[in-house]
Amino acid sequence: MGDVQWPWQYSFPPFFTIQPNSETRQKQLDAWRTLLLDYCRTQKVCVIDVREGDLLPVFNNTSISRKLSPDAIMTVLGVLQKTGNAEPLDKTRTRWNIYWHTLDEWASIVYKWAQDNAMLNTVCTFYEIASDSGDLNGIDDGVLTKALRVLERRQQAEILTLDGGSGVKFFS
Amino acid sequence: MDRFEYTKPDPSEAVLWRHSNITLYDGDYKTSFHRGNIILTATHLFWMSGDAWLSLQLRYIVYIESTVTDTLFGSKTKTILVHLLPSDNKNPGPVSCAKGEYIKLDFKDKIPDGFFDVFQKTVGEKKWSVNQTTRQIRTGIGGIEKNIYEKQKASDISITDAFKDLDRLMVTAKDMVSLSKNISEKIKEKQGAISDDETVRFKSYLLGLGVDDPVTRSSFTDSNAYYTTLCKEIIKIIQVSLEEVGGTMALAEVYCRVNRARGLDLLSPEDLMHACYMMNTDQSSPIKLRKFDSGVLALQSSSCDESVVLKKTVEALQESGSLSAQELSTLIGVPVVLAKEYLLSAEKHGKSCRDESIEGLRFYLNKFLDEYM
Repeated sequence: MGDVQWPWQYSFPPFFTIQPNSETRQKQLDAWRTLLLDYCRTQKVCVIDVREGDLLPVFNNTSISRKLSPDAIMTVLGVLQKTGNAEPLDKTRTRWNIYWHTLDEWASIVYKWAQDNAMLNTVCTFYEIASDSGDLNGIDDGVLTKALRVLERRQQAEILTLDGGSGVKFFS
Repeated sequence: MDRFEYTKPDPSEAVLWRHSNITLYDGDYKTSFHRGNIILTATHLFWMSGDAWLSLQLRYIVYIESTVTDTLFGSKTKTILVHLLPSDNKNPGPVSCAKGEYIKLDFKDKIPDGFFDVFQKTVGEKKWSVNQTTRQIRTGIGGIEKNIYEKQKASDISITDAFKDLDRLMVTAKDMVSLSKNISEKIKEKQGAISDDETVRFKSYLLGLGVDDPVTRSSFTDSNAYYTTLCKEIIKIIQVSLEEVGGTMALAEVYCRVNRARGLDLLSPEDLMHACYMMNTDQSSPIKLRKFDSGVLALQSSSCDESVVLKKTVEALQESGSLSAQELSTLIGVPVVLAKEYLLSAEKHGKSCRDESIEGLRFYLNKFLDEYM
């Protein structure tokens, strides 16, 4: 995990206050969306807990001592949810899955991986998929399962329960 | 006998005992004060005969006793011995040098029943000392309460006095105003006789006194007319200073300035506000009352352009990078409430953006919307 390239907004104090002016807020939230997805992709963060947002450097810039309040984090995540890049894991909306690729995109990526690696019509484990050197490297089990469920609905794969782990069979 | 002086009884004093046929003795010596009447009051013992009045202050009495006198037919108690303190009497009396430290009251027959007891009781009560000094409680809660009460009473009196003066001043001020009006009218009539320069100078003196004819509620029966006239007066007073401060002035400051100009007969904040509302009903009014989104009321000159204020705010932001309302207020010299309104309106126009932190609310140039960033 390399260092994060922070955008200019990250050191701009108003960035950490949700702007009341709608036009300004639109721009601000766009910037947040880009920043958060970039951050999650490079740092492989799949789950965000709103209550512990302080612990993530993305929400807490100690050099200008500004942090995004939990309410504001919810707002940002709400924006991500609209584009399919985030999904609450519980009813209180405190834990969220972050998808830097949407689930549809993930599904296509996984299927393409299977095609490229000649895994069609064979069974492979989640571990094999997650240890790939490309985009799929280190993918969260939960996210992978959800992506495979999309493939199941497209009738391109089937999830199997194996001894000591889960596996998947891709159909051609 | 030297303790006696020439005094008549005070008619307000209650007479405790009255008796006749009494002869005074100075010590054991018979005096010329023969067969007179005595009157006992709470503080004095009087002896009178014809027009002559003598009195003895009871405070001189140490104690009294009745004595038994032997006569041919046995013994009778008909004399009272009165033992006295040394004299410090400066008032004129019948005798300047006493023969003894006591006097005797000789009753012709016998001491009337009860007189001795009343006399002794009166001397014992020491009414004179009670009258002279009212007892003062200084300690305890009672003392404190009494002190507070006294202080309140004193300040009450002084406040009433002060306002009495103010009322008198108001009456005089009205006269002054009408007088100065008269003079200025006369000056106008005789414009030629007095040089312009003097007229101007005199007028400036009048103005120095404040508004020469304040609009008062009592001169109007209709509150609407009152407010309209008051509104005109406010515009007259405030217009110049409004331009000086940049076109906008918070109502609180307007209130201070108007009442400063009036000097007396001050306006209530409510009347001022109502009068200012009248400005908005009159289209031609050079000053308008503006209500900001936050509810702050301010007078705004109609020549004051909002875009100018906006530009000024943005320039200040560019110079300093970020500003709080406090900083902007000192920078461009407007009240903090107005500075905040300026910043908020800049935000509304997308020129600034806010930063809310524990350090307070600050505003930055809106970099989000700036294309070149």
